[in-house]
Amino acid sequence: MPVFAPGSTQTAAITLSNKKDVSFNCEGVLHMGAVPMSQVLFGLNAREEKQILMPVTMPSVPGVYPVQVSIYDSAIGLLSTHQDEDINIVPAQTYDEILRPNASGWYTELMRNGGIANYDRVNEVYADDDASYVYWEYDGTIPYRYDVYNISNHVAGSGQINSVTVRVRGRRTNAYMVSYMSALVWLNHLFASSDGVMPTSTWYYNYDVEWTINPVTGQPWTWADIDNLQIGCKIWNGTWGAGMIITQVYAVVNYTPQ
Amino acid sequence: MVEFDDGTTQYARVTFTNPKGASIDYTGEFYLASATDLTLPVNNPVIKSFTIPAGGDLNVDYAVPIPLLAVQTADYVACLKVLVGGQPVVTFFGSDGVRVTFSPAIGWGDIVWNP
Repeated sequence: MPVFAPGSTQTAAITLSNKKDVSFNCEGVLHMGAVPMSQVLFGLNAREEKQILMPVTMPSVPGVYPVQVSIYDSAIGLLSTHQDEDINIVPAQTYDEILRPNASGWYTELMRNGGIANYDRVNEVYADDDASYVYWEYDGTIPYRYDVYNISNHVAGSGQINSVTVRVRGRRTNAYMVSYMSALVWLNHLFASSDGVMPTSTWYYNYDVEWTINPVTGQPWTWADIDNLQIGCKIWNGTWGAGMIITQVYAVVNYTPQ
Repeated sequence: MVEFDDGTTQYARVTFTNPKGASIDYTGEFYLASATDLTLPVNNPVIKSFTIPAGGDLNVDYAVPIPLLAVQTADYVACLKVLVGGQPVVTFFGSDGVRVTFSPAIGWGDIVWNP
């Protein structure tokens, strides 16, 4: 029994043969249960064999659906009906692939505590908090600074990308001063920033920003986007004495294999 | 009684004889009709025009469209109307009936998803 995800678009290919010596002006209607899901118009010459393609957007409700195709002639009416194998609609399994910084990106404006590059301060699998981080404290110039990092190419992912979530884990260095952190994505010299968030007090805060479409292109994510993507963070400090530490940045690509 | 599947084309051969002493231009219309009304064709009449020399014979083949059926069987009569100069001169009715049997118009393969 074919299994499809709710709301997914599939194509039914049906080979028909006209057993008669007359031509028909046909309409094919595919039903799933009682609901017509696809209609297609076509001609069928005498004794012709033809494959017709019927695009079907699957039902949104999971379950087993009987499939029936009927062929009508414009003058005669119903010519034939065919009952095919049932379709099982089951919720799609989704998967996550985590991509971490592996090289410096287009902007490196934040400071770091040790290490050899900013990206290696934020790419640990388990957040090490004050052990390695990037940071910035207000210095009387502009109130914000950016870091973006190249990330590894995807390996396991395939199919449809449902979302990209950028995790930024950080904390303020001064509980009495206003500082914000934002998540960034950068692609082909354009970037998009999330809203800023101010962690409570000086405790670390995980800020997860999910983009279901690519905010740079305004289009659905592609795997080429993912492989060219840089992710990062922005720190905004309002006044002297304000500062922010970022200890971990990574991207989670959620996808549905097809 | 001959039997045919509906929606098919069958071939009927008719031998015409010109009994006159002069060449004549004929038109022959071949059709099927219900026994209840032999003047009303149930298919498109097949019309052929031909010339037969004085005293000669001619075989004429008709490709006869057999009607599509919505029922299992139907019986018809083969009719041949002969015209000369646009005027009907005689209509022959086949002594053997024609039985038409329903058969499915469409053959189906299984659905292949995302070929």
